[in-house]
Amino acid sequence: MDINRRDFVKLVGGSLFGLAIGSAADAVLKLPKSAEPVLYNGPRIESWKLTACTKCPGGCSLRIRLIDGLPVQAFGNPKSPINEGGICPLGLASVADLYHPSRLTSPVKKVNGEFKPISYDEAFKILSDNLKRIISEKKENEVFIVAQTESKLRSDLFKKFSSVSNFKNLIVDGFKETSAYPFKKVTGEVPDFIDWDKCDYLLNFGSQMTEISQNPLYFTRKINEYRAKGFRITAVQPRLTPGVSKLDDWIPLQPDQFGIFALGIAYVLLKDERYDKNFVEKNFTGFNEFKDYVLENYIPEKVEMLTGISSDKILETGRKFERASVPAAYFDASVLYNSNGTTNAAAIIALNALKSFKGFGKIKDNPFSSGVKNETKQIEGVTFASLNEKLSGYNGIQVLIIAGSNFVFNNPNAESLKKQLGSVPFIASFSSFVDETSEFAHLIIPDHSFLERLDLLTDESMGAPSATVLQPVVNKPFFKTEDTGDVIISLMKEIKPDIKLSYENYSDYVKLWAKKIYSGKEGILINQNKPTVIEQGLRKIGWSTEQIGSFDDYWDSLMDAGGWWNPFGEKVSFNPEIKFKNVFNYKSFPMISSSPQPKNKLRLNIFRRNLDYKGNMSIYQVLVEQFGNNWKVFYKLYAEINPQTARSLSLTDRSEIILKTSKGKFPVVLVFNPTVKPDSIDVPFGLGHTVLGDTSGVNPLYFAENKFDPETGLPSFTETLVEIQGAQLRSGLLSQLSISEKKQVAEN
Amino acid sequence: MPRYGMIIDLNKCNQCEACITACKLENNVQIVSKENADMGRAMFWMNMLTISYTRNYPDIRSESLPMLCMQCDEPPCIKVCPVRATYKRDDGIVAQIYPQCIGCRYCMANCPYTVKVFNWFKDEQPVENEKTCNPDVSVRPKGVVEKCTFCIHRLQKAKEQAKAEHRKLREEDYVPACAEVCAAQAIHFGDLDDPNSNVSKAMHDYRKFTLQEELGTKPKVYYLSAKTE
Ligand code: SF4
Ligand code: SF4
Ligand code: SF4
Repeated sequence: MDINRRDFVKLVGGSLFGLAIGSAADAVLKLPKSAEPVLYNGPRIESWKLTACTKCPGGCSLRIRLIDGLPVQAFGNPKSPINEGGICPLGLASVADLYHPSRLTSPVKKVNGEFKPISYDEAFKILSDNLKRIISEKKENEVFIVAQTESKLRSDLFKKFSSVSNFKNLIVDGFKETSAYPFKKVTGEVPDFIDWDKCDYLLNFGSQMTEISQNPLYFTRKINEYRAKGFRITAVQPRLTPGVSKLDDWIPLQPDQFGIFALGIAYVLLKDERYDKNFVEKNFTGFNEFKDYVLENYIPEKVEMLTGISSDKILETGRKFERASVPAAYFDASVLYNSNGTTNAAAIIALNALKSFKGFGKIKDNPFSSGVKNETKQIEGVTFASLNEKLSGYNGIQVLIIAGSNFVFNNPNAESLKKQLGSVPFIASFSSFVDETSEFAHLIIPDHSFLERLDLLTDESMGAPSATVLQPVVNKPFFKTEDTGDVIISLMKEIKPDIKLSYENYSDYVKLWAKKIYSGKEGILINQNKPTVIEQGLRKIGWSTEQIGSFDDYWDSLMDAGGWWNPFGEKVSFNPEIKFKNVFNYKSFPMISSSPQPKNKLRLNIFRRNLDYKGNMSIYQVLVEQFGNNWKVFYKLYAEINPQTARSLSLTDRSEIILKTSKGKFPVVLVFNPTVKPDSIDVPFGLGHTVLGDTSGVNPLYFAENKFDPETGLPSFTETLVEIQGAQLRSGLLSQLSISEKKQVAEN
Repeated sequence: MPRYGMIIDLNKCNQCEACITACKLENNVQIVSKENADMGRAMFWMNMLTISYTRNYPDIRSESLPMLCMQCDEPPCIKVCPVRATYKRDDGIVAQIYPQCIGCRYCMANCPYTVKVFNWFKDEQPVENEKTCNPDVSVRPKGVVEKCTFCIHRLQKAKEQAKAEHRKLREEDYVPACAEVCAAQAIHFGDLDDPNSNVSKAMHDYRKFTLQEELGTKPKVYYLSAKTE
């Protein structure tokens, strides 16, 4: 009898000691044929390899545990200055990438609506022919590239590709890149880090710093240290997220009102005349007008009216900010996910300008800053707003190239996006999976899994430049996948045959970046001990005990160490020019973004959790299960409501109800959470996939209003009004009704 | 003989839940089917438990803690087992002998912390999880009770390693998965009887408490309460 592994496991069930020990033919597992003998007859030798995690912007260094050369578990690398041995749920689950049954194992082409495997050569030819045709027709402007990557090396390569081929429509859909957007827009410069050593008051606008941020695990430790030193953090956020629950100061506010609140704080500083006059005089073009405008329009009482935050609280927060010697008002990409995101971010930048950006810093000699600077200018203005515009225009896009980004799932306008994508003549994707976006592709050349690729993940958020090594932990890629970096390099050579590149392939390209570290002769490998103060001093004057050999030797040690960083480089202050007037008319700061909330409706506050980064949780069953564990509501969407609100609507805990927005209805399990804003209903993002991985639950974003930040085109997560079906008919939001209205309801 | 124990600093824990995932993967705790999850049969050895809310909205704060088997020094669970499938080892770890367990679930009922879980069915595991399961830990058959073991298999491995290297077991040789992965470095683990161990040192903290102290179970999992600012 032929018996496959799945049946085998079922048959022997629990008496099997160690599931990984198998002995039957493997029909289900995604494992290359060549690995099968090892799996079944291997000596079961354990080994460890270092690499990095690519599942979020953090770029933690990982130790991968292998049995007979096959990865089984991921842990944090204790030597890494970023994560110091820590790892998050996503990182832990990530090894499953390699074996996932839905993984694409070769390039595929869509034939009659179905993906059929083809060879890489054929796939590459289809892609390059399409691009060459576009170039010959001089329609470069009708090519659009969306590349989701947190790797600076990769995003630089895409930028290079975009400039070489004159395909100027490029979005780098990365957290760091997105977070930097408002700064680039308003000041032209981006700070590298929060100066934790000096900063003595942090006003955090909406960043889930310890969960989904530029560097969640580093921030986790830093915030703990910061609090232990007695410094305060004020979190301005719509939700009491885990990271906020220990803070003394939480100001519940919807993100679309962040700007108003920030200017309310600015009012306090301006009124009290406790801002850095020297700085604004030199660096803030049009400061006086700005000042008059704020003093006229953002009086705390008025801000209270608009935001519901008491004027006392505004004054108190303003005073904390002005009295701190090094305050920082922090935000990141999350601030942009609402209908006036960039404007709000600009207001927060203005607030920082009043205190001369003291809480932030720059790295003086960052070996990774050069990149392709000159070539990037032209494309920095391209955002999802341009993509939406192009997609909705007639014949706007001829060729769409998508690398990794699942923007359909991350979009309330998914239905029309799908239609629009359906009419794009040619879509090529580099996704490893068929997801809600890549399902519209005509061609997919799947990228290697992160455990099969080489890269350097650079970072500045520690106030020290660092590069964590991402390297293959398996001998060779499991399947016929192709490093997207290699595809891009081959494309450049193919469409511009006379181009001179200093690298042949992606691994050469990565080495070029590593050479910058090597020739800079600064910093240390992460497995080396931090030098003493004396040694640091000696290093500064060029003295070093280390013998630095050839680059090849250095490269090997870099790979063995798992990374490099330079903790003793010089830091400088962040001193940008604020040219508000040219870029933004601050008078466009909205007084209020949305119309007042009707009494019988709640705000649908869609929130992100650290189990999901940009809609990728569904491929990890272990996380999908864990997603439901807090409330023990598994594989279903839950909605958190303040018990007071619920009672006023006669709703009970754990009841299954229907939420209704202007887009339609969806079921949720109601759970009582007294920390939820009484006028909101909080729903987590992450479930509700249709093709990628686990498909249970609902994606609440699909029911959200089509509201976008006009600058970046990023969707709003928190500006949809929702009714609870049946509930509002009974009583309306009693607590918010006037006495006479209540009487009326009672009479009815 | 060491006496293993754990201290979780709630002031450091930021509820990232990595300990939950790490535990699940390290110990091959099965992912039950959707239907079974719906019936309340999902299996977690480590959980995030919200124990209380303080003050009123908007000053309200929630207090949550990672919750695992307390490895009681006076474990009520072992007293009721009719077949001695659960017992306390000399090193203090409350262990479970799976092949001996008859699935009567008395111990589950007698555990005041409700941390034991039962294998109702042998559900099919997602294939990618089969591949990434930990070969050091046996999977449990249907019909037996299981719970946190302080990653006892890691102790076994560490002992063997130390023996092979002709040396004594060092403190850092044996750390459960949850403590290893915690990015906030909130979980201390070690020998409670060794005055020099990290966990012993942390025991002197005035914030120390145990859950349901009044029951006399003498938990060996301690917590340090979160400091309110
Ligand atoms: S924090 Fe980010 S980079 Fe670090 S392990 Fe988690 S997903 Fe990976
Ligand atoms: S891993 Fe650490 S920080 Fe995260 S929930 Fe567990 S104890 Fe808390
Ligand atoms: S917590 Fe429960 S299962 Fe663990 S030792 Fe105590 S009584 Fe037994």
